[in-house]
Amino acid sequence: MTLPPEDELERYLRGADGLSSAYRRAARPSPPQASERRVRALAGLDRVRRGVRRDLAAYAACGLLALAALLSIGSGTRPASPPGESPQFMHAALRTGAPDRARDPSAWLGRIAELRAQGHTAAAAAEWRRFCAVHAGCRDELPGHLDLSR
Amino acid sequence: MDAIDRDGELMLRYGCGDVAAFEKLYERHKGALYRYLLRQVRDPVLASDLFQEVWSRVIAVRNRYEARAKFATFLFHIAHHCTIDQHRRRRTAAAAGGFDPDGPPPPEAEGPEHERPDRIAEYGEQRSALLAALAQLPPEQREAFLLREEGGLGVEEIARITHVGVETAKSRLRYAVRKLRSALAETDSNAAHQPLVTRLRPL
Repeated sequence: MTLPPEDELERYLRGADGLSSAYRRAARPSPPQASERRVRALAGLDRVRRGVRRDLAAYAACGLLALAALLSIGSGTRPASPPGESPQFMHAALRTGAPDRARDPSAWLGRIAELRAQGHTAAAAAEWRRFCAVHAGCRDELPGHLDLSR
Repeated sequence: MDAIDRDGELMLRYGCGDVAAFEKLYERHKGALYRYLLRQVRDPVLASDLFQEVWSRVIAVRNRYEARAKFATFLFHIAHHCTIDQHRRRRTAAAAGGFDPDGPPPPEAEGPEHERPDRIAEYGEQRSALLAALAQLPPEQREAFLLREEGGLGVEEIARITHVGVETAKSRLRYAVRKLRSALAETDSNAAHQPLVTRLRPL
């Protein structure tokens, strides 16, 4: 008994007759760029690209501003401030080695009192605000027991 | 997860606002969709318009999309309807303007450069013979073949998209395959009977 010849459609669907590969070897044009641009605009892909460009521009601007601020601090072009209010001092006073939440409250309060005692009132006030941001129940003003100038 | 589910998932993600998911989906299907449209309407300008129309419809329904079938079935279903709508519009315009919408496309719109007769030799005799034979197929047979080749669809999906029974879809595809294979065989036979000197490339 012989099997009936395989149906040509089945051979084609199995990819066994070479027609599909011949078609795939034929020219494979792509959509025109103008159409691609319109579809991308419709889908919102161009907005994403523009957004990324905007973000990059914003980051670059921030970087330039930060650099300009550092240069002006370093070169002393800003108007003179009282000793305790100078940018260098403020920066040093605000700089902490550890995150605020990890700082020892007693040592922190001692540091604020010390700043206050040295006449660096603005730095002391800034440190106090940072302390209050971490520890609830603070008042805005520096408490009297830390205000050694009184 | 296979490619079918990945495409559906990408569309669902796009519906939730993930534009990057659409980009992947678009990159994966844009070429196949364009070739389907171009070889159906045989007019690059019209094919470009339809290409945009199909994608704009996909984008418009992104929030309502449900992955009930392969994404390709969904995409080519829209493409099929856009092509039919366009054909109806041409028929209406023809009635008003006095030209035959089923006639050959105008010379300047026969196809992209690589399918123009004067450039066809550059792309290989067998390839052009196959594309020429494809262009000569009746539209419904050509569509069945293109849905299979470009959409990667099975006979049942082709039947669903073209709104015919499975046996009709099979029959259309069978006729298309038979004619295309015979065109290829004829090309091979002609090449074999050419004098050897014309088949050899110059050194």
